[in-house]
Amino acid sequence: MRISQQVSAHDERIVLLHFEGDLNASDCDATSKIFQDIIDSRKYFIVALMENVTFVSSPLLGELMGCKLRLVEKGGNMVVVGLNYDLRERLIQMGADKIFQFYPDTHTAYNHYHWEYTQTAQVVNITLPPKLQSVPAVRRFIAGIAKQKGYTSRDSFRIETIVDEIANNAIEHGDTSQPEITVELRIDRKKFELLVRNKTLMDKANQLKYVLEANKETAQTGDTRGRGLALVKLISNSINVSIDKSGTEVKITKMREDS
Amino acid sequence: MDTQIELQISDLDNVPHGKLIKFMGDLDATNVESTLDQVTKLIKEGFVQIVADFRNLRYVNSTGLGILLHFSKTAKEKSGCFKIANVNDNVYEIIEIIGANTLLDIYDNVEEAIVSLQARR
Repeated sequence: MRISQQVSAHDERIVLLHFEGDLNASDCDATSKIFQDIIDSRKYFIVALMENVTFVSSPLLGELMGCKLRLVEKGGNMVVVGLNYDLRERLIQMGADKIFQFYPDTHTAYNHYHWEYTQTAQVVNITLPPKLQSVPAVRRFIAGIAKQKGYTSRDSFRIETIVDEIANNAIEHGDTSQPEITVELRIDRKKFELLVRNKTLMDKANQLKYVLEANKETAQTGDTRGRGLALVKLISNSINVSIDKSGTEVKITKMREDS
Repeated sequence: MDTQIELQISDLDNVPHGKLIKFMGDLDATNVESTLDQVTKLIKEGFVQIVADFRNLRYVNSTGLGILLHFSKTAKEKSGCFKIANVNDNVYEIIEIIGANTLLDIYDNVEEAIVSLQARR
């Protein structure tokens, strides 16, 4: 086994560890020392580059798991990059995929790092015509982003519901002459924020405020108004409505459930 | 483009005035009208013992829930019932949050819903 290390040019908080050859049981002590030296230098994020690794023994895999645990305890992590197909399959059989994230290249590993540890957010702006038929594609698109970003199926479904209800509301109660509705989505590892802007008639906008402030928490069979907003209020963490002559702005925040 | 909802309607064996309706797709604001028309037509024709199979219903929003409550109310007014089976976890959660689980008859599977219909006779 040969290991070399370098600080990433991409971000100095990341250390790239290049592994080569067979990683045998006899390499455990040396591996442990290298990791400890890195931790002592206060660097807690390691990308293990394994494109030139031909074998990983069970004891050394165990050692790597222990090293990762030490990093996690310091608020860091280690991910594995560049495994060949056979080695990747073997590591999966050994259960290593439950402990380590495997990435095909360093670029993807850096993306993971930024998403998980540097509060990076993704912002998506969508403009849609004020037609109910335009909403399903938008709600599924946004739910898909949430799922792709690691939100649970339950969270993604709730996000889909929030987008659907708020967009439908903006269309159904909006000024019929409004040219468009804008939807702004900001999503990061911990929370999802949705901002929907449209032109709403003032009396409708005041009804909207009334429904929100009325603290409705259930829907009766004869009660057809406000059920969607009541639902959104119950599945989100905050909802704010601002109304002025230029239009209505609804802002919803939902925290990721496993954050 | 509207989302797709497909209703497959068939007779319920040994249940007079009974129909099984399989919901497939998403039930939302774009298709509640057509769903309302189809089920209301059945109820008007006298099929008031209805089991709705939600095994393949992926999504329901508040508008969709509104017509489900309407079907339940209308069927009861005609001495019938509208029972729901095989609700997926996400949809059930929405039903529960909105408080509609106390107003709708929900069963784990179609067989249980049918047995409850037969017991009513």
